[in-house]
Amino acid sequence: MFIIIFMVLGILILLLQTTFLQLMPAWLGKPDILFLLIVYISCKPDILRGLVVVLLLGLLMDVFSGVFLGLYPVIYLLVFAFIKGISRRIAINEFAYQVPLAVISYLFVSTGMYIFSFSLAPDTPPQWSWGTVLLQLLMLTVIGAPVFGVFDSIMNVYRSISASGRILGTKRSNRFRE
Amino acid sequence: MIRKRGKRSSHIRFFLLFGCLLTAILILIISMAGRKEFSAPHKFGLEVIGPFQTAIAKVSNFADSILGKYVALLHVREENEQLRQELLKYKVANIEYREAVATNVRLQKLLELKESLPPPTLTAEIVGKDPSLWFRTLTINRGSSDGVQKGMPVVTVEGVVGQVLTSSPNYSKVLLATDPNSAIDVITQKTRVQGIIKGKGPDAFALHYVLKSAEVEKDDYVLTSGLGGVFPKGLMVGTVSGIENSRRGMFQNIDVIPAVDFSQLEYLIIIMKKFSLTGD
Repeated sequence: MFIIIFMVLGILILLLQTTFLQLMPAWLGKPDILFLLIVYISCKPDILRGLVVVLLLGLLMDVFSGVFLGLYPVIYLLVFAFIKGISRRIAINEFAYQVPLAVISYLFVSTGMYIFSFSLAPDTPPQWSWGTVLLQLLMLTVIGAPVFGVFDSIMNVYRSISASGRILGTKRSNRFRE
Repeated sequence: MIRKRGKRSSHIRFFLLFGCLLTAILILIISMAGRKEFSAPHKFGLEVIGPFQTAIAKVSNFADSILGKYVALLHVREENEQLRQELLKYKVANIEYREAVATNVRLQKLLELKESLPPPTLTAEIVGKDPSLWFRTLTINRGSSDGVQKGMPVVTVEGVVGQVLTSSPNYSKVLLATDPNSAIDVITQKTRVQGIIKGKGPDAFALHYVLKSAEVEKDDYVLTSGLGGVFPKGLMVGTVSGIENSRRGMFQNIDVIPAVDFSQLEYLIIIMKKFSLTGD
């Protein structure tokens, strides 16, 4: 259920990003909401299902963006590992940490994208533009909190569904008799 | 006898009184009908009642005008709302009309270009754009079931857009010429200098591998050379906007403004067969 809900959400965000958000003026930038979803999933304690969703979304992103197939899954999995590594030291599941974490992770992803693209095609290095990167970071900072709020409410819905499913769906035998 | 006299005299008095009253009324009516000017009592009455009448008339006129204005305002409000709705309707109609005309012009141009290119060509519509900052690709609504294959050139009326990168049965991904990974063999129109165009940012090209000894003019057109076998010869790519000769290196740094406005792309033409426009 977790995988399905967040995959559907990821697909919806991807569709939004490739169509509607492209109409935004260039000077305003285009927010990477899917990246925020990746960060959000990575912050959750469920490692296995989170990993599956991140991998699938990376593969999906490869279809709609970029030139080198496999670049997005690698980058997203690195972000996942990076956040999981940090989560051992900081309680990043808390709302206050998520936005700064997203901003740092985006900087990490941008650097990763540049290095990977450069190493895959040294003759045609991508254009690094601090202006564009900083604009994206600013946008992630601004929209981060409300977007994470939406993701949280979706997560709560998922939890309530799964909790009610557990109560209604499965009848366990009397363990005291066993 | 005395009773009979009393009854008769009372009848006479009644008739006299009634006769006098009737006569007076008749005289009054005849006199009023005949004269057009007010008599003294009339004037007096008018002078007494006149001020009150004026005051009441003013108040009633004021009230009437207020009521009239309010009613008129209600009507105006309704009318205003109606006019606003009509204006909105006509605005929408006007926008639709303009959009239809603009689409018509675009399609007309595409048709003209399509007719000028040797067949087969295929028209495609953009369904999605690359959301990342690092790559510049498009998704179009034509795929391998339409005969689209990797490497096919994609153009518009203005010039070169890019080439097909990958395709599924119904959709394809197009690598834009502005992507750093794109490379197109080109030639300048006047001086016939060859080079390779690569993407440099969202709305710029860089012309690479032009020797310092080669003569390149500003505002010269850059066209596809036909070498490399991907793009046909003679397609518009852009205009030389800046030339810089650095001390180091063998080549010039040449900036080119794309002929195509990549932010306004809607319909594209895929050239299905690799060929040369000049028949080479």
